[in-house]
Amino acid sequence: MDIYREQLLDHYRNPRGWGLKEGADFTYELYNQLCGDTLTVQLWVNNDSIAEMRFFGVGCAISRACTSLVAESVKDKNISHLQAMKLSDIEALLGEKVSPGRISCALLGLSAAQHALL
Amino acid sequence: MTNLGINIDFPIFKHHPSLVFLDNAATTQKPSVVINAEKEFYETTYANIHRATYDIAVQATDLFEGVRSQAADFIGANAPGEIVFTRNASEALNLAAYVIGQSLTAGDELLISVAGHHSNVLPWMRLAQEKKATIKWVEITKEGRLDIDSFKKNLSARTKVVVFEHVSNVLGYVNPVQDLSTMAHAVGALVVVDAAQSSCRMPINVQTLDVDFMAFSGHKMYGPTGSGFLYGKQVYLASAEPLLVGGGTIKKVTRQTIEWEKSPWRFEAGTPDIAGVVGLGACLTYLKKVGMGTMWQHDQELTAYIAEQLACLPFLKLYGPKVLQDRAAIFSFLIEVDGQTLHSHDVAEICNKSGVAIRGGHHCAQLLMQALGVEDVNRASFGAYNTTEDVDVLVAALNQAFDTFKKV
Repeated sequence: MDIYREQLLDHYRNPRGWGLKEGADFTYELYNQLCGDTLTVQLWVNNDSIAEMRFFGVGCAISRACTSLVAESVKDKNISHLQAMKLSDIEALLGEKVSPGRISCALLGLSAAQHALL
Repeated sequence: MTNLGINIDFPIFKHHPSLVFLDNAATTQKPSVVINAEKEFYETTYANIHRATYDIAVQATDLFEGVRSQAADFIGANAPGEIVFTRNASEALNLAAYVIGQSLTAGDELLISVAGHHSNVLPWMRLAQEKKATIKWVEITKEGRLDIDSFKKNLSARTKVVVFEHVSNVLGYVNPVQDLSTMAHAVGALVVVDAAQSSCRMPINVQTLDVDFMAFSGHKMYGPTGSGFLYGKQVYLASAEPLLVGGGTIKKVTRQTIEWEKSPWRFEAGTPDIAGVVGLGACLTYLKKVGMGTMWQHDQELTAYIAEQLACLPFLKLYGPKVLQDRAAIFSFLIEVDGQTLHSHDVAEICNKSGVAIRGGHHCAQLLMQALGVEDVNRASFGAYNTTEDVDVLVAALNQAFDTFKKV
């Protein structure tokens, strides 16, 4: 399996929702102890729908790309869609399985977004 | 001698023929003599030590104490009593800090290398907090070595202990231990050195180096996990209280009194990793056979080849000295592509696809990462079984990492 294919590279180079803005409804910062990656996620919510998800942080290609995929996926959808997302959903968006050693990287953005809603 | 030809001694390379293991600073693979020694011990001579009088208990005790003598001999200690078995270098350094701490008072100073592994930083930070002592940090030069001027500047009559690594686990430099010890002793300070990255690749003589305490990691020098030891000069161990207390640490105990056992046994509470120590003994025998001088020559020839090959990669930013004098085969680096630095875990993942095992992260040296101004680096650390062919496979993998991320 080769995870570093076009889909990942595209979302790594042009992450959707990259950069933080003022006025978010929810914000959450997460730290990945394994590698020292940090990630801040912001959510704007209108009537139970995610208007926008933005993020910023230091991280590997997998964490940045997967967070971008999540941000793109949850836009304009009900918050239940974000709350229900799992690794398998991210892998489906990526078009590749994530190796066991990198699962925490792939889930970093999703975890932060889900925590933001708690 | 860039290929020692000892791969055949290590069974893991039969199981994984295309494995290029370049994470030796994290841990080393084991020769079959070490694996077999532990197995044979369990099968033929296993019993607890220092306790019973039946035959296999006496034999097990003799085997265990025999390794203590071997270890003393291996490092040029004055007596086996200067060797305290621990489960790793981390425990050895915690013990050294605990022993030294018994004579520290408020206002005393500790001079510590900022490049130290967390195991040679945290015990001292905690000690300083407990005793209200002051820490002075020895910095890193731009070249990527310990800053000897910074060492001299921060050394004073108030310095009670200096703490540093023999070889840096990230930058690969070899410190001038003897010179630093001389300077430290001149002001009455004790010298504690982490030998985790040196005892695996060069001969060590604690008399020549003139250290007071030195920590050794068994698993990083081709020995079993759970084995390691602290060298401590008898004069400092003789009257110190142990860190861990329990079975084997006392001659006599009543409800009111404790009469400690003699050193070094006083410092070895409970049943040790007996089989691990037996395996360590087989390891020391093996290393003596290969010869630590030969190991160092191999390390140095490999270092020269690695430096030459990595210098040909324009996208590589190397950390640590480029001058090869006093520099071991541990290379840390980052890769830049289109103005962006690749995260070390992405590089490690791509290397893994070619069977190359390198490390990414902070390498238990966060203070050093902060001093270097980075979050993480990749590290390729070479061992006795590595060859120039391994270097070539690494270089190909690094090129692959660059190509993967390069925009076409």
